[in-house]
Amino acid sequence: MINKDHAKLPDKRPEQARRRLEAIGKIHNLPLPLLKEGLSTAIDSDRIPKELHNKSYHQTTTHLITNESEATAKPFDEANEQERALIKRHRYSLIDPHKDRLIALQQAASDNGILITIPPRTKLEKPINILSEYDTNGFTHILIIARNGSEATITRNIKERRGGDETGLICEAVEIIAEEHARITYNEAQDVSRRTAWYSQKKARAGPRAEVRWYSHVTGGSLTKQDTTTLLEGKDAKSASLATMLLAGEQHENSTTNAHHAAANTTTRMHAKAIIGGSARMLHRGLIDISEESPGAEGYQQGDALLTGTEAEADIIPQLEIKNADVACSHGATVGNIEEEDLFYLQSRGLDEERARDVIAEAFLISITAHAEEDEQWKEEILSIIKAQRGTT
Amino acid sequence: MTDKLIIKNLHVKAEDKELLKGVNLEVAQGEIVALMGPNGSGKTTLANAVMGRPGYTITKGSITYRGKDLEGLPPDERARLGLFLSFQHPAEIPGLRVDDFLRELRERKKGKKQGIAAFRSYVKSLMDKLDIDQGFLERYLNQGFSGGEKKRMEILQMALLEPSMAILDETDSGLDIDALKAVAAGVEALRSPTVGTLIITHYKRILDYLKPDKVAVLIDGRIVREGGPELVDKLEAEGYAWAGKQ
Ligand SMILES: Nc1ncnc2c1ncn2[C@@H]1O[C@H](COP(=O)(O)OP(=O)(O)OP(=O)(O)O)[C@@H](O)[C@H]1O
Ligand SMILES: [Mg+2]
Repeated sequence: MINKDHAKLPDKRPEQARRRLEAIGKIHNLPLPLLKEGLSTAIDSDRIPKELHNKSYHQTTTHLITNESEATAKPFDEANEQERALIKRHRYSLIDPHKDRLIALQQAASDNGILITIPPRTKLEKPINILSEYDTNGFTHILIIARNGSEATITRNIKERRGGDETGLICEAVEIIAEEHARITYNEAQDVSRRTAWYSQKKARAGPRAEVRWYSHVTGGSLTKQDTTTLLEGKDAKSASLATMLLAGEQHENSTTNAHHAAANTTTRMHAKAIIGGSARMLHRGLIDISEESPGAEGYQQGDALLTGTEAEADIIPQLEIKNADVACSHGATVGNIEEEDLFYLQSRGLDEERARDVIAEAFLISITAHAEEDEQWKEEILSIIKAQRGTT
Repeated sequence: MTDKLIIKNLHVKAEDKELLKGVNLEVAQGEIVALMGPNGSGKTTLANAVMGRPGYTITKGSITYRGKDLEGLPPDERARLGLFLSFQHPAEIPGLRVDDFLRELRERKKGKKQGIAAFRSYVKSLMDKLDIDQGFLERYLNQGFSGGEKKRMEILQMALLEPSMAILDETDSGLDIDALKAVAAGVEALRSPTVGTLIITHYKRILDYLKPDKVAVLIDGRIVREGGPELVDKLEAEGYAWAGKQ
């Protein structure tokens, strides 16, 4: 059964608004997110609106949720008493709301969000789809609690209705708690305005034998700042973080992907692939951190950027921190241009240069699915996200 | 005006090195011409120059096809004129599915959309003829293909594109006997009075299947000999040292 939930999330309660404004006032003591950590690629932090308190953060965000009936996916303000207790307990249980100014703003300015709970041993056949549409600046918190032995895919599309020249700010937080033997796949396609700074903090905790899989596709934003972290806390827990970026014009993107291994036989796979056109810039950092408590851990990370713009820049910095001898890890990074040989090959078959470049770029992104081969459904989801957004640049 | 491929006193330079030093060669429609020559003599360079590979500059002479001077034309426009090059080392494109790619080629060739079902049955019949497993349709273009599989994929693309002038750069190298027969059958199927073929090869074997009308020998960037099929036997017996002598 399909349950469509049209949730408008304006918060009109005046006392709450005042409380928020007060909180926002205090936030300015916190530092802005760290952006200039690249080797040579400089990400422009001025793209984060400085006068945060002067912005209007009235919530005019719509979340259209389509999901199967076994799972609960609902806006925070529609939560029942039991669910409110869950939200209270788990919200910001993984993400530190004082980490920087934006996440603090996120916490202060918004009590909106979506709670998704997957009951024990429930396996959802179809993904829960969420279309998040922002009218202007906005905040969203997604809290996913996957109980023992449950399995679900959440696929989120993030869009912005606003056009025009005004710069905007969107802050998001995603927290996933995957209990024992749960398996959560979180796919996200971000296509907000090219004038908007998009800031996203994502963090998951994987219990014993649990698996957390992230996929993110970024095409929008003047500045994208995204941090994705998985805490592998249970024995045999697994994580996968796949990311694709299709940047053009003057877009800047700064992302980090982190996996912290804190239990035996935990595994991580990370792969990011980016097409960088125009004078866009990307700075990507991956970190696999393996503690002493993780014998038998395995980590793989790779980052590849294809520069298609004459002034495009990319830095990819893979990092391993291993405090245990009994592990297997590999990492690598490539930054390059379209191979003249590939271009000539396709052109010789009748594709004009522009089309040949597009085909090569799309193929480059699509080959991320090599890491989802074992799961046809995930692979198809990733493919459809890449193909749906290819026309937008 | 003639429909021939005419290479006239062609001098080609790459990275400041003169690789072709005055090549003269003609391939007429309906004709099969074999081009032989030792490693590094410039055979692939010639094929690249005809197809318009960037980095290979014509410093003197010309290449014309169907009365048109090809200099400055991008490779895709040469393809549209009817030229096709089967690569000695085809590129691998991970992420590009063979079926999607072939359908796009066919659509470009035909100038209209191809229904998925109709296209599938069409391409499957071609694959049967070339003895290519249909599982290849779901794979990424040339990724992880064996040498022989890549060559068959080249011939499949040739069959789809129906060129009027095909250059096969060592398409027969590394093929087992069955694959060689399949490739020869593919070329034969395309053969018509309006199609010309230039076969670059090191071996007599393929020329037993596809009788050349003319054989040319390229050594050090120059055509040193031209003759009939009997030249192949002579080369086999005497080697290139003989061909190079005046
Ligand atoms: N882009 C290039 N830049 C510099 N030298 C090149 C370039 N392309 C080819 N060459 C050189 O030109 C010569 C001819 O190369 P080519 O590939 O045309 O030989 P070939 O006759 O096809 O040999 P084979 O039988 O081994 O395939 C070789 O010495 C090669 O190294
Ligand atoms: Mg060669």
